[in-house]
Amino acid sequence: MEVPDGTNVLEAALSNNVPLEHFCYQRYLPVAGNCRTCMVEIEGPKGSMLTVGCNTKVAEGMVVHTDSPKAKAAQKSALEFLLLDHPLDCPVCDKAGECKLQNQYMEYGLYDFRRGVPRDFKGGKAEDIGEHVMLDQERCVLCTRCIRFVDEVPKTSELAIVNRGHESTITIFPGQRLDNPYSGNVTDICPVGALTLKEFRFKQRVWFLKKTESICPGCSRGCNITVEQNKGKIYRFMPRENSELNKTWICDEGRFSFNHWQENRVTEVKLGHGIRSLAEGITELAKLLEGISPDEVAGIASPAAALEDNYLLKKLFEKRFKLKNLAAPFWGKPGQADNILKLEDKTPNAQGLRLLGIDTEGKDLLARIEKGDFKIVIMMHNNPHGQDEARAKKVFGKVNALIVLSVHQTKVAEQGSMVFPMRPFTEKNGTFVNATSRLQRFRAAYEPENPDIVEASLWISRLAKALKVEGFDFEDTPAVFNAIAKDIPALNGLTFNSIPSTGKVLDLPPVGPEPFQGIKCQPNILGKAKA
Amino acid sequence: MTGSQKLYLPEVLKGLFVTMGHVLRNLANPRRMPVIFYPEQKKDLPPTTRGRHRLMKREDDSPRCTACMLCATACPAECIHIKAAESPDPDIEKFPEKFEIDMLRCVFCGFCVDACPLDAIRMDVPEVMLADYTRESLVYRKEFLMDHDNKDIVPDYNPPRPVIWTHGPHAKP
Repeated sequence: MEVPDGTNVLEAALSNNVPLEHFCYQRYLPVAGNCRTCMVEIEGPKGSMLTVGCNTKVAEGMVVHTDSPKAKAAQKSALEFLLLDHPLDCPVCDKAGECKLQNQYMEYGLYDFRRGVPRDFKGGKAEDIGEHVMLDQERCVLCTRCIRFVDEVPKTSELAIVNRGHESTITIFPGQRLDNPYSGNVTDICPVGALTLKEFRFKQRVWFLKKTESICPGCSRGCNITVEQNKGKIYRFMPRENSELNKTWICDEGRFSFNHWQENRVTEVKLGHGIRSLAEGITELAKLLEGISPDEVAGIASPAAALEDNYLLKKLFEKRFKLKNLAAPFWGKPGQADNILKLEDKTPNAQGLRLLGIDTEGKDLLARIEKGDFKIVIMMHNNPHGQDEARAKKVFGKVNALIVLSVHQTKVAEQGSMVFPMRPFTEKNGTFVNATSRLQRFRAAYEPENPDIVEASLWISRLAKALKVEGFDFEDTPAVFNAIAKDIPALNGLTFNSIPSTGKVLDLPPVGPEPFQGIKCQPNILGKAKA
Repeated sequence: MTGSQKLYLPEVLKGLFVTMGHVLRNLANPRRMPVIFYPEQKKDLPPTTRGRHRLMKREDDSPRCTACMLCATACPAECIHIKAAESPDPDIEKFPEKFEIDMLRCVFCGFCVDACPLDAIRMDVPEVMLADYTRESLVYRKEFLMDHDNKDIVPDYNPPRPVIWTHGPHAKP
């Protein structure tokens, strides 16, 4: 086995698919070596010796046994110590189903309980230690993952271990609360049910959740997430490991945006004041557009919509209307940025618009709409991050018909003369290009109940067919992406399914800084391991 | 077959005589009939019958259930709907805010009883003929399932809570 110089034994084993029990070790946090479960037997000049795999660097010619009887016995007894005073209240614990202790007992433990004296439990009920986090002392196994996280990544250091020996407990410093903007991550890395999210506590058992790989649309960083839902209700967003981008972290803003995508939605096709079917809506819209000169139609693309949607809107304007009447002005206020993950641009796909060559400022177009140059405006995915009703009235005041494709029932959607529901990223397939020019794919987590809610790209295809424009025969969004890949040189050779799960960096100048500026959060992976 | 059997009719008449014999004897002495006059009379169910569910209670009348969802997980008919919430009792972490069993979907398999780690759900109410006029009334709610005012039909009414040695300060080793 060949690994980069300085890699530890545990990481060398894990990255070469050699199973090895580990508990306090987290790939993107410094090594603590306090759980002692990753014991391995290393052959040395004075005979073999037992040591922890996480804190031993690989050396030339090293012989390591991970499954010798001696190593296995050591791993098993280390686990027994961890479980000694851990309450077995798995049925009420929210971590059950994704608990490291549970999984490793089944994999490496399976010993008989042999404690002769009563168990000793630490604390009472779970206590509130932060805006999003609850701490249950009873279940804590003192792996210090959470402490290392708050020390290393947000560098706020709210957590610490107090007292000694068996009395040791994790706690927050007096007068301080775990309120940093990345606090949700401590609950992900907590291997047991000691730290839980208030937003997820008691809501759903984890084995009911279906996970779909996705991309956080909260800002132009494009952190990798999994959308976890059951029967069409999203219960949480969890970070997904991407060693090149967000490691295993996401910000709280992105994590807790899951409710936003299921609330206040446009659910029906509305024409004037009546509710119609999608087919009727498309026919009526096509009739309206046919009776008007192509110069009098403006289009507003969106940095919040997927690459495929914007591409097809651009193609429609190229073929049927005037391309110069299409732009993507962004109405939201820039948000907060930091040196970890958050970026100012709170839309996921502004870089995708630049890739397609759509104007992201669009001041000129808005001025012309306000002046009354256009009779019809087609607005896709009006910006969900803040709507200015007065401004919308002013800009669209002279427009005869405002066609809105919207996810949310926003102020602008209320002004639309035709409103079509649109699927958010959780219900559709597509791609985003983030600020550092990384093309990433997301997939539909579930199908909406109403079949009239279609993906925006398919809506545009149907409209194009109704307008008898050729070249819009797409069955689904992946087919649209494959067409874009043939069309745009930067994407040549890619297909929707061949995009790597960590994304692909495109040849496009980045507009944002790399994540984790001044934070050393990758001490354990030093490069790709070779078997 | 013999000749009389081949002729068919004599055999039919023989059978009718047997039938008529029973009819007349039963009319003379109705008690000998193996018939239960349902619904006036009901047959005693065996003690192991899986009947209607009930939720067990703690000593203070709060539900014993901790909303762990293991019954809902085990349920093949997906008829158990639980909503968990923080318990007001400081010793208990969570409790079922809502606990519903959709009896129209229930297949009486008893998996929920087997799955429950706290003996909080039982199927020992000897009611098996469940019928009603609306669908809603057959979705049994927590209050109904916990209503144990049926002492006469549930003899072993509320036995003590099982000792759970694995959890809590009250546990025994």
